[in-house]
Amino acid sequence: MPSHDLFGAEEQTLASAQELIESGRFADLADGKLYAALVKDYQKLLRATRRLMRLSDRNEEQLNALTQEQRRANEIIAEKNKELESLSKKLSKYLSPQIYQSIFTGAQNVEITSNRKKLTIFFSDVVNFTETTDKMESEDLTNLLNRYLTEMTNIALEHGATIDKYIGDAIMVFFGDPESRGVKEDARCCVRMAIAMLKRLRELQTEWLELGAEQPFHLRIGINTGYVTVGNFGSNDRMDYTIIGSCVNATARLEFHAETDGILIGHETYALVKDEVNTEEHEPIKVKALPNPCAVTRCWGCTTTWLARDPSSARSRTASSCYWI
Amino acid sequence: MTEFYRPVFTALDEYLGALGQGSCRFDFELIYLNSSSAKAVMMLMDKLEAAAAGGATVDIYWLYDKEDDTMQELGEEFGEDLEAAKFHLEKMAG
Repeated sequence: MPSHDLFGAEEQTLASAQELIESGRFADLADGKLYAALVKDYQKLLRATRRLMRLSDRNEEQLNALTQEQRRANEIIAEKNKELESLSKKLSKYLSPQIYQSIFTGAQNVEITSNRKKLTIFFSDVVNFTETTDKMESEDLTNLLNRYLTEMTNIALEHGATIDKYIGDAIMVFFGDPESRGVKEDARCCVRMAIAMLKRLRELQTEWLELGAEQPFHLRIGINTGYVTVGNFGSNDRMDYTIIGSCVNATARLEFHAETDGILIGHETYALVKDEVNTEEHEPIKVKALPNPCAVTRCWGCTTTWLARDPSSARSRTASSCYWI
Repeated sequence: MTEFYRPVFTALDEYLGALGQGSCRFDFELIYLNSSSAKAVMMLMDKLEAAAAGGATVDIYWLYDKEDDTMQELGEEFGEDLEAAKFHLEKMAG
């Protein structure tokens, strides 16, 4: 509604007042001047009122425009967030869930940095995987391998492992970073996980044989506890969150020397889990690749390594040089 | 709002009271005005206009952003009320 319509009554009052001044009805000059001054003030007041009303309308208009603009911006932001969320969900598949969480919660920076920590490390490998799957079609092999890795990964995550990497059919995980339940509990979780994996593997044998594998799958597992360097390695453009150190190499060697469907654990791991599992002493293993013999001795507990196996078998060997779980 | 403007009114009253027949310049440079502030600006204009009517040389500059139509229109309206004071409506560069 135009302002002259809103102020029609006031305009009418002013017009009447103006007519009164011009009619010369004020005999007293002082009264006339006083009345004219009042009319002038009334005019001014009316102008101010109109001005304030226009200003108020303009401000409201601007506020509405800003609100709409903000709403559109919010919609765009929500859409972008959705896209980012979907993208980050896809990217998260390439990371261990713990690493993903620690990056996305801001607990960890994405930069080349590392720390020394005492972790329990796990290596597993399918015995004679290449020979076992040699005659399988590529698609069947892919299905089989993915099924195997999925099953093992589920067990690893259930036990709180950080999955470092898959190397073909080999799996490397560790416990104690980025989250730790304490060195002892980390070691126990790792051994429990290994036992659960062997158990599940046996359940899956039938399925895999039906898929075309000529022989049942068997695993070798090595577990070791010790200080490693953990963090982001690589370049600023491409980095891996992983662990390095002699203890890691030693674990790989333990896995190599483990018996079929057996778990070979280092001395420090043994010390942390011995009251929970049955073990049997195994003869010492020397790790050739390590440059510093002293470090090897410390990492391996000087002389002893331990062989572990599913406790459900209730086996407890008494041989002098190895321990069976 | 009254508390906010009271020191400004007091300072201006003191200044204009001492100005006599002298000259002064008052700049307004605003990006937003609510209704209360608009009333306060009109009161400031009244004080300046009264000083000018009393013999002072008063120049009022209303500076507005070149893309701010609202401030330009407000300046034009405020300027209409001034008779003794000289009103300057100026667009700011950049």
